[in-house]
Amino acid sequence: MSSSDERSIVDRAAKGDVDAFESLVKAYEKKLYNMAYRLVSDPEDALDVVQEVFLKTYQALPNFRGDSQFSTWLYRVCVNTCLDHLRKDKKSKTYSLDAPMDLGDSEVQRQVEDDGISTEDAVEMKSTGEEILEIINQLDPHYRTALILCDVHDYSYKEIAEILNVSLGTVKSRIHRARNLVRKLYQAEQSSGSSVKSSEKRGGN
Amino acid sequence: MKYCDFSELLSAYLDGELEPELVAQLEEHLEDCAYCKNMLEEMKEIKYALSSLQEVEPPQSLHASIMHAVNRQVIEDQNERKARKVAVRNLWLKRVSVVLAACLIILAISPAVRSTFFGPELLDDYGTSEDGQGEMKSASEGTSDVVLPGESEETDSSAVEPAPQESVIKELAPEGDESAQEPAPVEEELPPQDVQLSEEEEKEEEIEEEAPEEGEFFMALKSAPVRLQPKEIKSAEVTVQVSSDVLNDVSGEIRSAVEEAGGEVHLCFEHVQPGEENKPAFCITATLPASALEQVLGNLSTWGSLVESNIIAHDVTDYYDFVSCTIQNKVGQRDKLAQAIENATNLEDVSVAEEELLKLEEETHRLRREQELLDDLSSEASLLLWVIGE
Repeated sequence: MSSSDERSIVDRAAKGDVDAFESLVKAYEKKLYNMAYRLVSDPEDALDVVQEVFLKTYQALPNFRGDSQFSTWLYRVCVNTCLDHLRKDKKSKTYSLDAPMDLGDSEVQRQVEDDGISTEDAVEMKSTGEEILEIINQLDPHYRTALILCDVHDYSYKEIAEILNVSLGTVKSRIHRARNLVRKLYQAEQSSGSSVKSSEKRGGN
Repeated sequence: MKYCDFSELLSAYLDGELEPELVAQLEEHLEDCAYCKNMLEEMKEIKYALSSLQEVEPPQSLHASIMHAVNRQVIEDQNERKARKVAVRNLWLKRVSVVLAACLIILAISPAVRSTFFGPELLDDYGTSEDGQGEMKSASEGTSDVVLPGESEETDSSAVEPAPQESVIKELAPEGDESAQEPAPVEEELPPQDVQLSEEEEKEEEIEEEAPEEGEFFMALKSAPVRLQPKEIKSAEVTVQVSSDVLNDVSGEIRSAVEEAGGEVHLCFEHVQPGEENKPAFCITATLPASALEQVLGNLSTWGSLVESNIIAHDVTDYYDFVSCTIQNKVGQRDKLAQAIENATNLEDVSVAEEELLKLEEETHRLRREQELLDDLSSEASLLLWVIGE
């Protein structure tokens, strides 16, 4: 969809054309789902978020002034909805280290530090990326969002600044701090989780 | 290993976002600094691991569930619009039919009136009143010509009470006093409205026609005292300026404030006009009970400075005016009926007209109660609303 095509579809949708809106849904649902999934880290929640995002978008479309690109606006609504979701969720579900991990068939309690015994199997079933995502989930949502948009979704700092509506400098510092924090937490997890994943190259630290 | 200041540049370097003049400098530094080299490697590992995460396939139900929610919203919106329209139309139809009934009775029972009604004055009335308010006065003078017998006594209608209908008329009298002063102009408003109604029926689905009405309504609000029922405030669009460092937190705070107040946030996003990056503004669209509006606005002002609050109350003042107009109209009809009864020669006609009168009276009472409620609440609402406009 070229940007002028999209603009005209957006205009039609803003006037209440549901078919036009549906083509926007088709174009963005997968992307938004992935974004939401990585940010709220739960498939069910991601589904709810995406549904909410499109509903909000549909209602707010008549007010969309086109100052930014439609996609940027959509991603911003998505990120804000996710942040909101996380804030609400915080009350019932903290991202503590004993949150159960979804491992497909079986659910295991995540265990850190106390015993390095049962952790390894669980850890081994995950890719490093997933492990790191779990660490990211412990970060402040704003840091988490910046880092995920950068590393998972591969947005430039400028795009991230637009989506989050913050300055380029803020994006830069959030990403750096987030990455640095993840690095430290990951190291800590590695050294405590220990024997399976040897950390020779970190021997110097 | 000792901390190194250069490490602050590593993330941007890794992401290819470092200023070109710093890149060379950093690369040179990396040759010698084990701390930075090590940190860069670890960060690379993190970035690589995250970027190689597979895109997840959304559940198959995703598209359907989104469209289901959207369609439900569409239907709700349509129903709301239709219900509003139908309600207004029904009231008009009722009004018109009652007036027609009244006219028929008058025609049936009074040969003198009949002759007057078929005279040229009536046509003239219809022609002039369509031209707008300026003509209203002359039109209303026309009416007073129409109903000749007893019209002069009508302003103190309590004085006109023939024996057989005494009980009925007495009940009506107190209300008649205040409202009987202006029945004629309202009566004259009817024909043009009737014309509008049939037009409206033709283009029933055209929603656009609501826009100019709203515009007029806003204009009216600016000049006239605000008459709104707080409960009916449909949405409040509030723009607040906050400093950029708290921008993200405020979004959540406002949401919870609105939600705690029993409202619902439709859209909440930070908005910065191009070229005004240093002036972040926060925009929120929410529906909230008017009783909580003050509190929410109060909260907003603690987070930032209130730039503008644009509270859109879609149709309440319209409705208020409509109610007042309907009441006046009904009173006019009532007086005409009363007069018809007075002049009646046939007992059957009298009882029909009396029945009509009672119905009218009940309707008027109900409308008055609504009007009073709106009046009571309007003083409260006007405190909350100070900027109205598109």
